[in-house]
Amino acid sequence: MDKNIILSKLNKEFPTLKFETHRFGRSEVDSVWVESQNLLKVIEFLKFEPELNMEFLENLNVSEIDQVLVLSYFLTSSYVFSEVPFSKSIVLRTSLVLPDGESMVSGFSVSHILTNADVFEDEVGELFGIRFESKLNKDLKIKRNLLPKGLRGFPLRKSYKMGSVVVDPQIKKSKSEAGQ
Amino acid sequence: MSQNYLRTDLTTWEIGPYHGALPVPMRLKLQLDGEVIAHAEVETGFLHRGLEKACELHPWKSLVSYADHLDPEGAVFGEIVLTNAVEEIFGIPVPERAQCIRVILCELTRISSHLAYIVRMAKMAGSETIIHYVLRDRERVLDLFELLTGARFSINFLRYGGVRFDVTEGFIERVLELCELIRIRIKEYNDVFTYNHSFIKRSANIAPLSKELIRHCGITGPNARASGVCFDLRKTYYGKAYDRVEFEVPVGVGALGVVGDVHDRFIVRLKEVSQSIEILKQLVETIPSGEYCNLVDNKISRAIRGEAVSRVESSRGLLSCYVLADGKDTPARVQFTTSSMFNVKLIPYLISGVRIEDLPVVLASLDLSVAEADK
Repeated sequence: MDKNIILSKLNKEFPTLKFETHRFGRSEVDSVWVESQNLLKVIEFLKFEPELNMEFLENLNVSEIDQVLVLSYFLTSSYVFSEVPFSKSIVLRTSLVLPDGESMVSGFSVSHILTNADVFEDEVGELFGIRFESKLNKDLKIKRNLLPKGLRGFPLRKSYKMGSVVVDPQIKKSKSEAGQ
Repeated sequence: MSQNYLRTDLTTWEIGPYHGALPVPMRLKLQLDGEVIAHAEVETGFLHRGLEKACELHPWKSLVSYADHLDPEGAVFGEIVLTNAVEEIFGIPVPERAQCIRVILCELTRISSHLAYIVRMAKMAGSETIIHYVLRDRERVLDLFELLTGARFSINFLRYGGVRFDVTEGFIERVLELCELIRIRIKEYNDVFTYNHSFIKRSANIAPLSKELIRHCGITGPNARASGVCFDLRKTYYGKAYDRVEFEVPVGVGALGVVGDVHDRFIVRLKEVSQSIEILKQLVETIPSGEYCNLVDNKISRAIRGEAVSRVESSRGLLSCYVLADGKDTPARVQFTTSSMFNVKLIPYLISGVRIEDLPVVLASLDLSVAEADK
């Protein structure tokens, strides 16, 4: 299948949106910048368009570049019901401006469209301080507590200062009693 | 809802984070209807070591030893996925011989990891004998790691552009010996454990994993293949040394129960050990001559900025690594995406409706590595 079919379909479906396109690294995959308010409808289209069927979120990467969080959604065609998995791939990119200090930043959750997205959102949400508003059924959600209680800041932000862990006083006391 | 439910008053059990019935550290909050699990919640994160942050703080050359610790049982996969991404960014070519040595290590690691899986399954199913049999054979695989790399775990063996040492004298002969040994031993495992009626009772028709659930949770690797999803990166994406060999991708057929049940997940891994043996036999006999590492053109240039994603089929499923270089001595971002992250998400769905006595076997059958899920 022509690799440009994804871009041509996006341009046809969203004629008013302007997609800035680059090559992802040295690969042949396109990375497309999308404004954050348009992200949900673009992902929805890529998933439900029958010829594309890009329903597998392979990765949600967040990187901080110059006080801006760049969110990269690595979307690919289904491997479960497809005979040719990974035949179509695209990287959708959007950005969030980091506020000053250690406050959280709000992002759009895509977990109601891409069902495995919550795994990524929980992780990068905790480590980068992004609040994703999820519409998933909370009953069956996994609770992940990666960071210790008392930790100030968000470790994967560039502004994070190492050694911000506040040790639990109980552990500190028992360590000193044990002579460590 | 399953017809197994008794509709009694629900009782709540909390298990973990450290418990003999759990293969890995996690906390389970279960609501039981009689002996049937009606609802489950999972809490993980107890093994978070800040691996990605550590990678950002260390120079490029030190990263391989950190990637080792992504999954201690499958150290090579962490190393190879990182080195592939870095080599792509900096345009470092890898000699064919080095690619072959890497794949030999990958397949040995897959055998070692799957043998450890059999041990965990046997432990949870209460079969003491097979634990000793399998551990005895796994030691032989670890001996080979030691012979080649000097370490049994955390081998720190890959380098940008190749591997640290060439294969040592006698290594290839010993790999072939091991292949023959494991081929015979698989028959022994089958006699003692796989087709033992007590294990079949504990595993057939238990906790089948549907294709819909695989799609919902993003499951890859042997867990997906056991449910009939024929997706293996070694066939579809990776290429390189795997192009040189012929092998099959085993999928679950529900031979003794239903497709995708605990027994299928076990059988698929056992068959994958057989396929790894076939790959190893073909590779070691046709290993090309030449350099084991590109020592001329393997420099990390600060002038180059870029990003790359690499993927490998680890023993647990799809493992990918994103690396971002911004012209400094350390990477700007390293991110690992592991199959165990999604396997953990699967647990509440899969164990709802399962009887409490089957819980340890069902959890062990998923081959979880919380080390790679929590990072």
